[in-house]
Amino acid sequence: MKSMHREKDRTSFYEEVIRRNSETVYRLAYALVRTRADADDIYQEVFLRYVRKTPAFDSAEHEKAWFMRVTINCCRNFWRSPWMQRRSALEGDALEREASGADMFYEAADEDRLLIETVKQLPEKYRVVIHLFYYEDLSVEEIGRITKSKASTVRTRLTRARRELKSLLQQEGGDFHVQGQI
Amino acid sequence: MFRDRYKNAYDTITPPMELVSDTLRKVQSGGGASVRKRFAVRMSIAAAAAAVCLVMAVPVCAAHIPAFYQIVEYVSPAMADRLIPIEKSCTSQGITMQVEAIDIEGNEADIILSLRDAENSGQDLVHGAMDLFDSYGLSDYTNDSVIGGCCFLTYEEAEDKAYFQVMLQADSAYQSDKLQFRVNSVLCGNYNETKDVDLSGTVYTAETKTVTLNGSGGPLNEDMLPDFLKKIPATAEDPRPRVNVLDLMSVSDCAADDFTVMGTAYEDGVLRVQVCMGDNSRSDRHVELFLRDPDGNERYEDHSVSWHEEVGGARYQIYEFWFLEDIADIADYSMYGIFHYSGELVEGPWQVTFRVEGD
Repeated sequence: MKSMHREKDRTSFYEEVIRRNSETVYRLAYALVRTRADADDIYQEVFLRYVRKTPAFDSAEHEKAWFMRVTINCCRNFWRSPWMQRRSALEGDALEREASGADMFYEAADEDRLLIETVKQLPEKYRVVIHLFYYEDLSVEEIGRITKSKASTVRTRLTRARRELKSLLQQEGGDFHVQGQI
Repeated sequence: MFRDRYKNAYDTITPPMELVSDTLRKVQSGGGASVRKRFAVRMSIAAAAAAVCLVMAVPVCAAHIPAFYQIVEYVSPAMADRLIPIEKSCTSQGITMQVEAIDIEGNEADIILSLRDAENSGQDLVHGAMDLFDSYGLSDYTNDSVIGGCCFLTYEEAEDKAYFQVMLQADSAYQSDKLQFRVNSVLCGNYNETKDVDLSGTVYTAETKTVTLNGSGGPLNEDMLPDFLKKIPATAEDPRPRVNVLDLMSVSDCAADDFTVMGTAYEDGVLRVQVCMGDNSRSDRHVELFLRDPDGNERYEDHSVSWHEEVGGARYQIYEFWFLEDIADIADYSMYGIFHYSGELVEGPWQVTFRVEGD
């Protein structure tokens, strides 16, 4: 009986943690992979990894940083998987089409869709810093800790990402002004 | 403002309800099963194939077969037959290294080892490709390995383990009654990116400089290279090998923690591509380049050389790749590289002492 209670407590504890980090993980995964289905896979993988590893967190920030880091790790594993590489080679065009609009499942305005899809054209290392900086409001130092990169590397990537993004947005006809104080 | 627009756009991205419920259901049922709806196929094809072979071959003991056998069986069935299980482990820096098995004969040994995040470490250092950073060795206390090679086999999701095969050779035969295997440091989170290398800026005459090499190699032997690429004869004062390389860009302008393509030149039938790996003292960045000719044929370089240059206390590693190719118009050619990045360097050490039973 006691162990049943303990099991129940543990499950509700996991549920709480998952619900608390659900959107952060999903948005970051969606920013880093191309399609909804891929983001779904990453999402589940991250939380199952959490249950398998059961890390103890010192604070809410620590918990959030752990989930962001593991999401990035899972996305990197995903991209370099032989299966994914083969899939990219075989379905290159189809995948691009899927990523460029056919997969839109969310209720987003055309401008928002354009912005999301344009950011997705950037290399993965740039998308990571863009998302963590502009969506999660993390500082360059915090991004460095999560991505295990030096602050100077993050700063360089952010600068290059902004430059590329600006040029991509201009090609797409968007009028966003990409800037920010690092 | 871009930040607001980006936030607004991403506020609309939320996990579907059914995904959340499905995840919670999986967590309630123990969370042991991996999700991987589609990309689970990857390594499991290999593992499953190996498992099927193994189970069919030895059905009675199938339940007791250590997981590493399935992997080794796939890589080399002959080797799997020779392996002697060791299964001894050591934990340091939140990572557990386990010597799974050994195949030892005379002065040569093959070791299968695994790395995983230590239980309750709360870390996620082991989650994919890794590297032993050339920091391993096998000793029997009188005799130490002198040559070694290491091969990352796979990362096994279900066990959360990264497997390696380490090949070692000592000067004399190993005494198998007391062996010690050690790893000093590991690189976690390795990944690679395939990117184009722009050949449009290729120059046809370039300044060169003489550097002292720390490595060279490739399918074409040095005697088959044109004279201007051959090593400069050693002198009594400087017996180290030297060679003339392109002098297109200052190393101090290269990134310390990323790749920099320093320039390309085509001269006297040789396309030369110079790439800086940055400071590799705590990393193992390296690149494989592929030249694509007008017919779409792709090939590696014929020869490459590498050297170091000091920049503000850091030691940058530079490679120059040589492609001997009769190129009429460089615009007809293209190039891409697989750029191998390495993640965090974790310093152990990890060492395991064991004896080989039944040897």
